[in-house]
Amino acid sequence: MRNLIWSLGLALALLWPSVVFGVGQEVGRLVGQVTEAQTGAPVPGANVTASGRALIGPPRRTVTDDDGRYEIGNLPPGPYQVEVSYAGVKPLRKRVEVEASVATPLNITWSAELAQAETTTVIEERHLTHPDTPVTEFVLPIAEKGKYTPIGQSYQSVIGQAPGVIGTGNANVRGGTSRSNRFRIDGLDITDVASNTFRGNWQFDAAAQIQVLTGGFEAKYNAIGSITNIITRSGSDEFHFDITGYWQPSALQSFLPAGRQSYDELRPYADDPKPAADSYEVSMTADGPIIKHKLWFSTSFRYSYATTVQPAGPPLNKQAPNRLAKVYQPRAKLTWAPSASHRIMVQFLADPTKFDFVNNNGSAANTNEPLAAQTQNQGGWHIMGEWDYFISRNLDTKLLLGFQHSGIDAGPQGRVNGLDPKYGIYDFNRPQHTNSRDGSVWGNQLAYSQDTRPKFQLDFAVAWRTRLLGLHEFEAGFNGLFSKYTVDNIRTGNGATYSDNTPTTGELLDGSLCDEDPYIRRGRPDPDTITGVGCRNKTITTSYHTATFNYNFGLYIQDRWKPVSWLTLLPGVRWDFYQDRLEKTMPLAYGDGITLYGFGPRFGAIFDLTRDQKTILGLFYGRATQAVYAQAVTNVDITNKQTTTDYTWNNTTKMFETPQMRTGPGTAYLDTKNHTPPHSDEVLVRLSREVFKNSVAEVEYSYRKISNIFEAVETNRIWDASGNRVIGYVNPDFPNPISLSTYRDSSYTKYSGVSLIFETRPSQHFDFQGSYTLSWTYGPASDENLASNQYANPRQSQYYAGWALDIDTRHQFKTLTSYNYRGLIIGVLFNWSSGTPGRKVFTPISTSLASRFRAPFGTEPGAPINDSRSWAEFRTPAFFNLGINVGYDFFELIKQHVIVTVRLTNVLDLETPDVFNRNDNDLFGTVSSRVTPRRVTLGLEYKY
Amino acid sequence: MTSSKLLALLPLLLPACDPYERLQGEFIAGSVDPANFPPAYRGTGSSRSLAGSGAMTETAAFARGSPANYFFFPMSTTQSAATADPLRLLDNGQPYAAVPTPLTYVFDPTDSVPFATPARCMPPPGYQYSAFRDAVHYDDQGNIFTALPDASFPSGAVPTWSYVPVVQQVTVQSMGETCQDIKSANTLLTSRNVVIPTPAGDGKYLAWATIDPGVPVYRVGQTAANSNGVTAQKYGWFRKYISAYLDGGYINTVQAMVTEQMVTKPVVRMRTQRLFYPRSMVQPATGPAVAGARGAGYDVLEAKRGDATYSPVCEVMTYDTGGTTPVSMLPKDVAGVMSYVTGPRPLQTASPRYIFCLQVQ
Repeated sequence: MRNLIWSLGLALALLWPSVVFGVGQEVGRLVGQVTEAQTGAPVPGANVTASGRALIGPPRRTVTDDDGRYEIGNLPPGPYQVEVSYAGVKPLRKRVEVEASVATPLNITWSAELAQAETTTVIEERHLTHPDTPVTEFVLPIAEKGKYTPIGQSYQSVIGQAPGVIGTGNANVRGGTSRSNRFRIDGLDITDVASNTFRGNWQFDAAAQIQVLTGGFEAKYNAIGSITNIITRSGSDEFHFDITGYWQPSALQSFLPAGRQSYDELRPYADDPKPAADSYEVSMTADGPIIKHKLWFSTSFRYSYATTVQPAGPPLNKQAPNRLAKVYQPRAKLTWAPSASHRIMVQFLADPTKFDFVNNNGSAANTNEPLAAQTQNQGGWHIMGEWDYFISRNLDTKLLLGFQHSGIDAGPQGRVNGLDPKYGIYDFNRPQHTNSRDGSVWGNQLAYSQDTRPKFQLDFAVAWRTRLLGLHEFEAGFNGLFSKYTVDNIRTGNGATYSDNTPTTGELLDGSLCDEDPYIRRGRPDPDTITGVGCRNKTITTSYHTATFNYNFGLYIQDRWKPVSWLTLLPGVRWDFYQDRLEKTMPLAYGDGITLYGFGPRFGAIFDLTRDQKTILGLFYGRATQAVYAQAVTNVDITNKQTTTDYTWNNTTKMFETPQMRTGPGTAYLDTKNHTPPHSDEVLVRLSREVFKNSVAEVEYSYRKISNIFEAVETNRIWDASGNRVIGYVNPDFPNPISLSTYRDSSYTKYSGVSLIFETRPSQHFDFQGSYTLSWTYGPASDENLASNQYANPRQSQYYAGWALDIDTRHQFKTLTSYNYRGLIIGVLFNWSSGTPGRKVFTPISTSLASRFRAPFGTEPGAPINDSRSWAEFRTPAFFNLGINVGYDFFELIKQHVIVTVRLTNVLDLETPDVFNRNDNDLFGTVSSRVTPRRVTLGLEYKY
Repeated sequence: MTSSKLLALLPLLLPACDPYERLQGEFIAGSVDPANFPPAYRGTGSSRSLAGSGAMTETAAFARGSPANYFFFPMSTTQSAATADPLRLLDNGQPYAAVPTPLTYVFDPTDSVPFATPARCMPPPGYQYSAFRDAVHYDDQGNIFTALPDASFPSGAVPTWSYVPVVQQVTVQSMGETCQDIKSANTLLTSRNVVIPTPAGDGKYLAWATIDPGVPVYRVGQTAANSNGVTAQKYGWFRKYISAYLDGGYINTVQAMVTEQMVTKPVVRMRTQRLFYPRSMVQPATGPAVAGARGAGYDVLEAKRGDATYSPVCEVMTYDTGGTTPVSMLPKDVAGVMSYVTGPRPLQTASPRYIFCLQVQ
């Protein structure tokens, strides 16, 4: 009997297909049961075949087991046709949409009538419950929906549409910092090695789907915030071509000359100059078969050109040159299925980007004269290859190799990209002057910086399926990343910069700047002719070179165990090794690097409450860890290598004297002892119910504590009881601030949130995704401050209410809807979120850094200033965003897909403030920034 | 287990998360904001918008031939009004409006000293103070204030205020409370770890001048070059904020009967001591001779802190030496001052007549 059970188990196991990997391109799978309609009895031995345009190679086949259950894995996301057949009867076909990373449930009811019917039945099935994974996600299919909705045409915008996510791009996800997220293109980790933030902008419509995973991570995933998967187009057996042009003409763009107070209305008759806001882009995709069923290609290219600038304003009151951005994004991908057992993909991507006057879309336009303007070129190229080897129905492997090379050249406009001579003759050795009276900046940028960030990636995974007290899907994998981050920083002006005090407020001519600088004293080389007018401070800063080697290795094991049909248990664990070491030729007194060891247990339990995959309860606990990123280490190296010395002007001797070192040897250290790495502990509860056909309602509760967040802690200055004055130094022989870069236990954030989510796709014409999230975020961490601020000093931290209050957005309501009918395409984005607390910022007397916080400080006019009982939340206003995309496809008229679109964002042209002045001065509470006004984009697309 | 039972367990899985959990109870709210303090309590050279930007310097003076330095504070504008009695504390048994004396909760004072040494609160086990780490000493308990200096700053006019550096003592008896756990009067009054025998006040008055907690305080001979400015000030609490004050000791009072508006009534006044300075010319060690002035380093006081006749309230008198006198030759005690007082050169009352002259130990 025992041998029989083993034999049956083995035989059944051999019939099961492969499973989902955490390595390489994100794939999905189909799971379900075939039952007899009248009796509900399972139908064993039925053939189930999945075919779809996203699937290269032969269709995927399996056979239902004794319980009538089947599963087909390793399916690239997209629409599939599932055919169920049985000997001697007509096959039954259904259409399903397979999503990445999750199982798509598809139960099939078999009846005698259907079996005898002459015609097949094709039914659109889009079950949206996730019956066997705890992961929470937001998925946006691009060609079908994303391209025709007013969501920003970037993956960064898609992140912001996920339930509970605060912000976009480097968003704050469930208490995570802006450096807590990971970003991947087809499994290639494109997260910036220097900063743990997103790197690069990628062609939106080159993606088939963009998937944002926000929680419930199985062991194959590792992020304490979110994981964004950009799943690019792969091609199909049909040739497709698409070319789209977008134009955002300046004449159609709104400009809001609103006042500084939050209650200020628009000033429609104001004669403020309207800033430039032109942009256009052309994007192309082409994909199809080279050899049908065997070899596909997919290519894309995007070029965009955008200009914008701040209107002229104080202090320079002169229209600055436009900020210009030129982006080139080529991509080529080949997918090859030489046999049913192999799938190979190679891909090349690049994103060279050139800016001119990169900061002129902000206040720098009016403070920096063109000679002192900053710009940068950035981007790089990526090449990757993936080999999927389906050894047997129970054993699969995946191997991914990737190499990326990117960098940033940043510095003076005149050095990096050249400067029109009408703005002056640029000279790299000319020092920068800042007029401290009005904040105007003259002569040069501070430095020219070149950095490079090559990264090599090797991922490998093996999946094995077997039966042991139920069905198991084991997956074990290895993730390896090796990168180097190099920065060469060359100071302009031979290291000198001046902070001047011109004799007359409003005096802007550089001739009145400190003439100790020979460039200001031009024509008067004799030092005896120095007048000293305007001279105040001079700083000498040295150039530096720094480099780090970053090694991240991870091992994981994950099981998906189904002891009974209605229960899935997901035990998993991962170990990670993170190291970032400085390039050196000898031991460094301030520490060579940081090494962290991560341990991340995961456990999930998924209950199919109604036994029909329509009511799913998921419970999850998991710990994820985060790698040390290069800047956390290089900043210490730079602080030690880059000596900054301040000099004060002596008007009697006509010389800069009394040098005071600010940074230099001994001012920063790495806490090299073993630490607990930054990690998140998450408890997740999710209840999903398919309420209508192809419609699911979800309640999701998430509690996440993110601990050991990176901080640079001040260790030398002793502050008085008020926190306003430095009264001593721990090392009195070294009277300078000293920072210690560490991962202290007291640096944490907490998140608690409930999301109500509703998704429906009742037909091919209508698609709706909506969510409401109520959440709280709190913690004393300081958002991974790289430079030591005084609130990282133990004496100061008690006054600091925590950076996490900045992201304590309590209410968020997000919807994204698309509708198409007979060529008419309508997309609507409707988002509303409550504001975030605005803390009042005090400036200590001992430093110019305004970062001693009290929060949430009472800001009502007349509120007692020394009564903590009067504290009230000071929040930015609620933000409401309505976007509409309207288009028409002329296919019905001309039998060609020519689509015209008009996309409007901030349709109501609201001028909602989004940043307030928080400093304790006369400007406190005034508006620093408002949301982007209404933008109109015209689109023309041809699709084949 | 049925679905409904599973659902019933859901609330148990929802851990609480309060964004402001660190701001509950007796948290440290920071230091008091001195923006509205009268100028003298922020120090010389201060800016209202920048805490800690002034400097407070002790005035050199003598009593009984040796140094008896003091910190100077002027009378308030309400105290100095022509119709006000600047020394009156109680008027017919009621607080005198022109000289407000708010209650201050003083932990375990003795008859002569308003501080217990050592403190009777419970410090954390093994506690040792660290200036780098600790805002306040956690082996001591800061006294609790119920009012702060508060001035009006009318545009284009000099500020006005009623605050005086005098508080009425309310004794608090420690009963094993953890040091610095109590940071506000509200919490103190509901605490079971202390006893307050006379909540309305002991009838004793203290010369405690609340100052900008960030202002450096320099004793005589000290400057920013040789001192960090944390010298004579003590730290207490006001509504969970850290406050700082200078302790000028107990103020002796005198009772009297006055008749005002046809009504005779008892009043309680602050007892003063006299402060003398020369109104004649003095010759500094360098530079030309100048008219004598208070606070120039040669003031003479009648009593030192600890003397029975000590008072932190001074009645300022001037004397005439009859000519230009080198500073080094000026008297350093009352007898020396009186040696110059003759019929043609009597003592004269200075203007302002009264000042606060807190001798701080």
